Parts: sequence; C-alpha cells; structure tokens
Amino acid sequence: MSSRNFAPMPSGASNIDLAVEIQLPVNALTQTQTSLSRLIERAAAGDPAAFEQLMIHSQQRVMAMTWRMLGQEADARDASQEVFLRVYKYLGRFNQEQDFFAWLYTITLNVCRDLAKKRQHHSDRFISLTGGADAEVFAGPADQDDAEDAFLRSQQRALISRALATLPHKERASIVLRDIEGLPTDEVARIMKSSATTVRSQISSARKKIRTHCQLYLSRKARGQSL
Amino acid sequence: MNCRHVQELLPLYVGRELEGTRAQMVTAHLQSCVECAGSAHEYRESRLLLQQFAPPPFNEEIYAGIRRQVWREIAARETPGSIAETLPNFVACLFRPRLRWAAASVLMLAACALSFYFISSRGAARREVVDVQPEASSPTPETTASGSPSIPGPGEEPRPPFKRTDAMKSARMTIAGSADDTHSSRQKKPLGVAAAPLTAVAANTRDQRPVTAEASSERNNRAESDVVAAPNPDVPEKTLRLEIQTNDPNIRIIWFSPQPEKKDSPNNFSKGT
Repeated sequence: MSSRNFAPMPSGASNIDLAVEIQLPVNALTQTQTSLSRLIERAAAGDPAAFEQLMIHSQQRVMAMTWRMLGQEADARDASQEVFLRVYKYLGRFNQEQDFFAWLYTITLNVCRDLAKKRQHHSDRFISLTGGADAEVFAGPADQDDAEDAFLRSQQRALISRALATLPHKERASIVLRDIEGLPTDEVARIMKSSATTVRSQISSARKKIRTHCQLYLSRKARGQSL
Repeated sequence: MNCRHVQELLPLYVGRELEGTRAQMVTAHLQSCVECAGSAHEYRESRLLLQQFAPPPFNEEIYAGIRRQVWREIAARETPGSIAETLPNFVACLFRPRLRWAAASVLMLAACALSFYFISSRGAARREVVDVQPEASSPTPETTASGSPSIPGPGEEPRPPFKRTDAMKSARMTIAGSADDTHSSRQKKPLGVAAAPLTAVAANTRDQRPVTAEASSERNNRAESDVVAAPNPDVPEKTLRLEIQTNDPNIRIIWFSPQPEKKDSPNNFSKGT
C-alpha cells in the first residue's frame, strides 16, 4: 500500500552516510476503500465497534441526503435512524464487490420514500411563489449588509427546498443524486435500479420544473431587485 | 434545429448529458438565438442554486443522538419480546404491500382452482349421461320434422344410433308430442321444454344393472335422478329402458329400446305418466 522513497542526499552531506526514509501513501483512496471494506466485514460479522465506526463514517452523507429528500431536520433524523437500522439488518447480504455508498444511497432513498408516504406532507408544504409565505421569505431586512448573505442563502435554500418538494419521488431522487451529490447518470441509474435513459428523462423533467419554480427569483435577481 | 427542439434538449445540455452531435447543434443554435440562450442561462442558474443546496450544519450532538437511538432500537429488536409485543408487529407485517399482494394472488389462485374443479366435475357428470346412450347403441326413433318421434314400423330398417344432441332433442320433443297425443287436458299447460329439467335413466334389463346417469339442467335445481333397475315382465329381454322426467312431476316418459343384437325386432316405444 505504500512505497518507500528515498530522498536525495543533501548537497552538503555527500560524505555522510545518511539517508532519510520517507513513507508516502501510494493511493489514499484505495487505502480508505480497504479500511472501509474491513470495517464492513467486521460489522457484518457482528462487531458493534465496527458498526459504530461505519455509522460515523457515513452519517453525514446519510443525513444530508435524507434532509435533501425530506426537507426537514426532524424527518431527516428519523430517516437516518431507519437507514442505519436497515444497514445493520441487511449488512450480511451486502456484496463486497458493490460500492458501499451506492448501496447506502439505495437504502436511503427507499427509507425516504416510505417515510414520505407515511407522512404525506411534502405536497402540503408547497406554497406558491407568488404570495403568502413567500412574501415573508423574500421580504428581508435589506439594509443589514452583514446579514444579507446569510439571508440570501436561507432564501435560496427555502426556494430549492420548495421546488424539490413539488417533484415526484423519483425525479427528486434523480436530481438530488445527479446535480447535488454529483454522481454520474449511470451511477444514479444503478442506485435507482433503473435505466440511464429513464434517469435522464427524470432529470430533464426535474430541471424544467425547478427552472420554472425558480424563474421568479431568477428574474428578480437578474433585475437586481431586493427580494 | 428549431427553438422547440432546443428547448426540449436544454435541460440535458446544461448538465452535459447530450452526446456530441446534438450538443454541437444546440451550441450553434444558442449562438444565434437570444431567447434560447436566455433559457439556457436560467437553466444554468437554477442548477447552480441546486448545487448550492447544502443542508444546515448538524452538530455532533445530533449525530450522536441518532447513533444512540439506533443502538437502542437494535437492542430492543434483538431482545425477544412478549406475545403482546410481537403480535402487533406480526399483524402489521401481514399488511405490508408485498405480503398483501401475495395473499391476494394466493386467494385468487385458490378461487380459480375451486371454480375449475366444480365446473369440470359438473361437466363430467353431464358427459356420463351422454355416454350412456351410445353404449346402449340401440336403434332409436328418429325425430320427425314436427318434433314427435317416429316409431319404425315392422319391416323397417333400424335407425342409426343416437348422437348426443339428437338424443337430448328427441327427449324434449317427446315431451311436447306426448302432451299433444295423450294428455289433451294438459295441452294448455306450457311445459317449458327449453327449461325442462331432464332426468334420463337408462337401465339395461338384461343385466339387471342400471346403466344410469343424471342429466340435470344447470339452471334448475329441481332435477332429480331416478334409477329404475327393476325387471319388467312386460318388457322383452335385452331391452334398454330410458326414463325421462319432465319438469311436470306428473309426466314421465319411459322409452324402451331393443339391444343392438336384436336388429330385426321392432322397437318398443311407450309413454307413461
């Protein structure tokens, strides 16, 4: 896993029989993968410490994904908990040749779908951009320059959150994996157990809807109006 | 490539998901069309917003809470609970979508199998009646055009044996004919030939063993079967006896027919009430 490289002799120490041994990591990614697969093996064998480490290793990804899919912290927490329970239950069936995080994403999406079905409040949270709660969202304290950036970010977050909430589950999952998580289309298709063509179609449809949803915001931004 | 096509392709174009030729065509179009270029810009902007869609920072306390809760759940699931605890889970498990579909499929299959069994068993019973008549292979009276059976006179050649449909038709026609001939008082009473439950009983008097079966109308439960196996002194040996019960309980048609080996003997045909 590592190579032993010998640094060149210092110019002023040519007659000194000294060499410095430097140990460099050859491939950090491979090392990480190896340690991850060892961790998975141990966790699958029933080692609680290994499973704890596995949870720590993947908790941020899972939490971010569930939050993006569900839009609320409380739901994201519940979903993450259920994801880890399912991972614990089915880790024995996990094929080591498979990508662990792709497998984890599949479980996460399934959990999010189940939870969304159970709660059925995603569509209820959608509010039209033309009025109502949006007026409150966009009516910010424009004179406070220091808080403007943070406020703008929260606005954008709310906007995208609402735009995502309008999408059907599969489109939302496709767009989150492709555009937010940055996975290639083939990988998204594998995670969603679908074809690349279908995923491309879902992504296209989702982008159209998000653009339509963001059009008002984008046009105001283009005109330089305070929102 | 016109604007409409480009608008369709733009969502994929901004994500670099179009293959070479089409991407080049869209690029060329965008350089010349301001409107489509504006749309492409909006797509890029909204995609950028999406990429910046990061969750709020969750502190370590939240993660630790999730992990603690996971371990608590695992411990609770691994400890065998009482029946009161496990029963609701089991019932809930039964109502999961997959199991629900599986149970519905099994029920459907069972229903199909049962209905097939009943239909086939009824069909077999009906076939038995039909099979009895060719077995006897007796020359039988032919049905005339008016519906009444024609009795062959002495010296006439024996008629070919009944076929299934002929036999049944003949039996029904006999009912109508008998009403005309002998029971004028009942002429006005419709017999309902088409719906008449027929009970055909064939007895081989030579063997004194009934060769019988029941033909009952599916629509009528009043059909009954009678086996008449007793030897009749008036009837010659080796004669096939066929009784047909009409829907009128007072009318029963009894039909005697000689066995095939006695081809020269005339058929006996009688009606009784």
